[in-house]
Amino acid sequence: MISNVSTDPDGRDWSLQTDRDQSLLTAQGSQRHGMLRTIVRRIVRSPGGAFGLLVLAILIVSAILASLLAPFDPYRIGAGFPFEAPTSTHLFGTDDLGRDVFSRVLYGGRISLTIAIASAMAAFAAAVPLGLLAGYRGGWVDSAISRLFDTIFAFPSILIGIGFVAVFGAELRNVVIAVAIINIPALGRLTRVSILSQLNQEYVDAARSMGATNRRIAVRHILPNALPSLIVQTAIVMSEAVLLEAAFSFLGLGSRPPTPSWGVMLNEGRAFLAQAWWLGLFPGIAITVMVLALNMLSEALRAALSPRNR
Amino acid sequence: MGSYIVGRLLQSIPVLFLTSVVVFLMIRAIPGDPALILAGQSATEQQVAALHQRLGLDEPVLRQYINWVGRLLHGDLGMSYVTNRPVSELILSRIPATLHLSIGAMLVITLFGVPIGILSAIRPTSIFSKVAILANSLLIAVPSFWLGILLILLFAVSLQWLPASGYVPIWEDPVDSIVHLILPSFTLGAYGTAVMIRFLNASIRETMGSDHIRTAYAKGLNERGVVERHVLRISLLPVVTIMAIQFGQLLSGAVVTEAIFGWPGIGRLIVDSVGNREYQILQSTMLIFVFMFIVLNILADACYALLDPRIRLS
Repeated sequence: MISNVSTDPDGRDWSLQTDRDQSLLTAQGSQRHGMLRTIVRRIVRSPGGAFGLLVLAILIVSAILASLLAPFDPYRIGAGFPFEAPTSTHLFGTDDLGRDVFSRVLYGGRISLTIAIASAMAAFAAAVPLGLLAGYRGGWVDSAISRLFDTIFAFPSILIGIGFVAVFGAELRNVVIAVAIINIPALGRLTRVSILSQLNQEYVDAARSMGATNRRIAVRHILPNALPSLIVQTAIVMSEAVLLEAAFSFLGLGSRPPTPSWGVMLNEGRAFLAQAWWLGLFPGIAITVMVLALNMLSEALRAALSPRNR
Repeated sequence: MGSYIVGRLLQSIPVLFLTSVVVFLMIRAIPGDPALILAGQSATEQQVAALHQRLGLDEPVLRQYINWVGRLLHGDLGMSYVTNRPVSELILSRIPATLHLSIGAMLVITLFGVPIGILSAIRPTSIFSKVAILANSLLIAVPSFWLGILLILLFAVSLQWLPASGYVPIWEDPVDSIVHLILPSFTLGAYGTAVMIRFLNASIRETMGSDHIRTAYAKGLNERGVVERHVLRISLLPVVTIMAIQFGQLLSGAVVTEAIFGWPGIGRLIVDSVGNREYQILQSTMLIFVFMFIVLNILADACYALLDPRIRLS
């Protein structure tokens, strides 16, 4: 649709407006700084946002400090007797090999967070340039990229992962790449739509009239304005990544035993549910709490950014 | 209406084409001779050579792709070397179990999601509504495989009311079949139920705030009349779409649910084929899933257009 952005469609004379547009541009910049502070304040003040941030902070700190906080080596067989119910020594009990479940859950947070961050970054790095290109270039470039997004989107997400892992091997790295691919369409479409909605804004015309190149306008002026909604989506990507990593490990297609991944632990514990309920409980709570925190944070972010609140 | 559906079908052609290319290239992405990969580890040299010949692997890739699509269209999905049976037969034999499960989950979504969604939206300040919304965000965060484990812990291990695993076809023993279906259906349907509640809640509340509802109240209709005759009529429209999308999601959710409950459906077939490196099964199931996904989406859009003239006329 927007194929001809570099030429001025209505042939207006821009030279007369530069003063006003210059001030428009600078206003945009300082507004952004103040807006960021407002957004952070709104998130902290909303109950969901505060809860999400707090829980996430606890999870991140405990994952980083896992080696200090964990009472036992997560791989150590015979840290206690097999199938010890939760006690003060073994807070979450022990598994069939006598490993300390609490220590394993703590270390599992490292895996989940690493996957979440790595795949969100990878998805972001691939999707944003594609979305920018599609939105800004328009024409056949837009069609080609949009069909690519449609195709990825047509696959149920777990199938993309399974196909990818089947071809390239059941490794954690491949799970990261698969989760990134799964999330490319959502992020990419969002970028594209943001670009399209911003293209007709006055500040874009202003920047163009001052001689900025297309690329500069897209990267310097439009992208920062699309960033808030992209950040919301990134939080969603992260929560999905946590779920998918756990699901893949649960199916035996991601992390492998004896890695203390939450999905692996649930899968191992499944065989012993009748004698050791705690094996089926704590890793699941960990996954749910992390996903819930990420969801609440993204929800609070969305509310804070919504125009209705401004 | 007809032209609308045809238009949507035409739109999905590039996606189907790209999908088939991706699935076709999947095997080629693995280093080595595709015939060797497709024939499996235990294949003899003659078998590999025969497959090599049959797939026409010495021909140009484009020609190979066209041949492959041709065989697919004739229903030739290849052979499974583990069971030595045609892949199409294997997939067909797994469909009933997955269908049982999907229908069970759809029932859960309809019987719980729709009424709870409506009730929570009509009285947004009631305790029921607040509990429903809270439980809802929790339910969305709970991974289905953990929910399955929790349900097994509670209803199979602790209370011993329901079996922890196993599948019984409904035509063999209807009662036993349903008993075995309850936990898997709730596991698979939980997420869809949460989505349905969230969606209906938002949709109804939006309608309740619109002008024509105020007019309906103003002309003296009581709340029941307004809700039944004006709000639901509009707000239930998107349910069709959600249902279709959810059905597509259920197919992939079945992969996990079937693993938990030892359910002999297509999802299990997929996971097992990864372990056995049965690529022909993987390729076929992927194509079928994507195809169904697209068809369901078109059907949903078609229903939607049928119900809402604004869409097909715009």
